[in-house]
Amino acid sequence: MALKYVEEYRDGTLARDLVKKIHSVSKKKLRLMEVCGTHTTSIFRHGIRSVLPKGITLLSGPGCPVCVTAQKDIDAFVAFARVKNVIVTTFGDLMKVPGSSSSLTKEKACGADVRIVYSVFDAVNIARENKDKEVVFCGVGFETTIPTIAAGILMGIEGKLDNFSIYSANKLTPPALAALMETDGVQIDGFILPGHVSVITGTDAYRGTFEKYDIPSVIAGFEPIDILQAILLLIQQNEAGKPALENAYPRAVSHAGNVKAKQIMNQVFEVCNASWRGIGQIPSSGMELKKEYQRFDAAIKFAMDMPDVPEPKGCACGQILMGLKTPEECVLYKKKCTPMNPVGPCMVSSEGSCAAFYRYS
Amino acid sequence: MCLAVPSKIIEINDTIAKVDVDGVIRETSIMLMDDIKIGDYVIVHAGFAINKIDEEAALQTLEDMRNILAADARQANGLNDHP
Ligand code: SF4
Repeated sequence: MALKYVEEYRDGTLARDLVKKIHSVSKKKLRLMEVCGTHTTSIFRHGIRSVLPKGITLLSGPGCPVCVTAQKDIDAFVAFARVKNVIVTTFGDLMKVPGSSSSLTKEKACGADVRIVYSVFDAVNIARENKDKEVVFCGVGFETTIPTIAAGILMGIEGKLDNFSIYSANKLTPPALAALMETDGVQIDGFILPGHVSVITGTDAYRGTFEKYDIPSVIAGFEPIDILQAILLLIQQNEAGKPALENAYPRAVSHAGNVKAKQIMNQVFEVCNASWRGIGQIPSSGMELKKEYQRFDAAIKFAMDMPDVPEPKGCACGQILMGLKTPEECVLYKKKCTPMNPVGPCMVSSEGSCAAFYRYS
Repeated sequence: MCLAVPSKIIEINDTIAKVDVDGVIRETSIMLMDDIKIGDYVIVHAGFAINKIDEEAALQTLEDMRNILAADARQANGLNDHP
């Protein structure tokens, strides 16, 4: 059976025509950033880099949630795993990320109860089935994931689960883009904006950043045709000197986004400052539980306040996330740092740019 | 983390729906959605449907793109759009 809404966007003829058109309009050297880790993976998997004109450089941005998780948050996850009677629940990608002294994988090997879940839903169910234990969920995600975690909290309330809590290392996309634009040395000629974050936020969420920095910005889906179309639009905007905020994923993204999901998210969470790995504090770029939901805050429940720790020496994740370096320019890449023995999260996460470079080059 | 493949809603029970992803049946929460019905295609992220695919927009995007590219091809062949 042909996959609806997938196959059409992988059409070979259309893709070739788009590539031809891209070559015919591209004159300037441009640095375009795909903000989202799922885009990075898709771009590599479909070999999109190799068909673009030489002057077009694609940079992987700060949109892999695991890659931007600060070291001290990873340390907190490890610390929860060491508390007696605690079950740590996490998305699989976080397992191998090294904190300053250990990782969840290592803790599990030493006997800690760490369980990979596909959804916060599963974590809530584990809490329901293990009333004699405390269940902590590692909340790592962007606007796409935060409403699901909020929904998990509401389920916890409904099920009267006082043994369920979350640690929020959640992050917001538009403030990160603004922070990038303010960073010295950062050179970006256009953003390929994340499709599924935009499903929730809507196109309007980027209006502020777009207007302030006049930066070409196109929301894209994840199939090859989607990505090629976004690249074409960004090149056209640049060549014409007319930056615009465009939505090339209208089948999934509207102006206002998913209003209900945003309501649930804002019912449970409120905006706070957040630390991004390698980038540092970005004002108003995180989400923490509102006062009335703080009994679900694992950091408060377990009085867990981890110190800030410097990132491993030599790891260039931060610069890579800002488009200042490519993985190949990191001194540890392929030497001390490999997917089997990752030094930084960009090598651990399947959506990290170091892992993608490693796998596909 | 994102499953970009749209899933078809085949059964709804309160806030839980069964979806068909290329023949594989999964359960997904529809807590974050308003007015979902059987037959709709949704994008599922971490166990939750996060939106409905707009069929009309999906077709329109492809058609617009094909039209633009076809116009280019005609121009390249020395044919004009407006004789
Ligand atoms: S190659 Fe490894 S050490 Fe270097 S930036 Fe990537 S993750 Fe960090």
